[in-house]
Amino acid sequence: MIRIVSSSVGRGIFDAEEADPIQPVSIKHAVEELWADERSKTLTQRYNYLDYHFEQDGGYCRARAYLDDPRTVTLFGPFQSRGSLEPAHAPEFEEQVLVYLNRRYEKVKRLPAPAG
Amino acid sequence: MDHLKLSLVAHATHHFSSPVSPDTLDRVLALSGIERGWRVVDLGCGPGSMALHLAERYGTEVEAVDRSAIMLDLARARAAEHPAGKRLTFRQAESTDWLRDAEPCDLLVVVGAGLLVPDAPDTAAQLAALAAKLEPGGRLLWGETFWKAEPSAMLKAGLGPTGALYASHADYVAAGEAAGLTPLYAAVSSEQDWDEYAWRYSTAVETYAAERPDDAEAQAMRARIQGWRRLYLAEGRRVMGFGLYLFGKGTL
Repeated sequence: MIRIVSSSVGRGIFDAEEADPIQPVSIKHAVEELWADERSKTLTQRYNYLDYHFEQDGGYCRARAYLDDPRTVTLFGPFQSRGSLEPAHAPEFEEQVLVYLNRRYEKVKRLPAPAG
Repeated sequence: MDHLKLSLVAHATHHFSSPVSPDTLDRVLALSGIERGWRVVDLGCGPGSMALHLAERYGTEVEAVDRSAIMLDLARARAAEHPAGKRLTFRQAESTDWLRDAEPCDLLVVVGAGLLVPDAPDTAAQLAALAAKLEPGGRLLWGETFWKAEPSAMLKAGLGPTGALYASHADYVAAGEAAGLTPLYAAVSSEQDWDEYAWRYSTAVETYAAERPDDAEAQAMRARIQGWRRLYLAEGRRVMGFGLYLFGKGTL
């Protein structure tokens, strides 16, 4: 059996909602399977990931982490709203999201790159 | 080797991340007296499957504790989609911190969590540390791999540091007694439970590696899992068991 030995948190017990400066409004777990064709039932790719959705007045960010690469997360945004791809200037919100993600993942990739 | 990655890939299709079926779990819990209103803690909850099962089947509030924030995020995401998910709360903690600071509970669930007290000299000391976090009359549900027969040095070495911790079924019950607990029941996983666990484990990694023929880390995971499977089939299947032990503290 494999023991989990990563993501050490230091001393103390953290309420999952108290340890971070911001909480995602939702975290979604999804598994997508791509099949070569229906007849052969050949699985060509399996995507197993977490999608994080963060919202705050004037800002929306989404982040995706594939669970077969639990060192890396990709951050999209901030955008002006969930339904918009217009960039938002929300440095405090962005910083809080980054702190949340950096507590979990070694590498945070940015898409698109932040302006400035 | 990234153990978190290997665990997430290898356990992607399991019901629980241990060779335990829901039926076996319920058979033991039925004798625990578990009821609504109990403070229940799943220590080392991983992706939260067992905590969700407890909340759904028994209607209890469950505190799910793990050291990994990513595992807890996965558990939270699964709970959000689950009808009983609202009965879960999540805590991030090292086991040593939890054992030092947490309030006692009525039912402590520790299944397949390995060495939670690194400086404990033996299983009895491990169980004593867990027992200290039970209310009087509380229950400990502890699950771990045991030796059905004497393993070879090769198998022990192949299992890494945790292989050195395992003892016999009888030794685990005796360890509970030595820790001041009363053994109330023990269930042993069937060969079918083990095969289900082992084959899902290895096939998930094989599938992952086959999808990534040029990924050196994926191929290293495959080589590791193939070695593990050979050991399991040649010897582990014969000498490895998995027990669920129900202990009581104080007045029963």
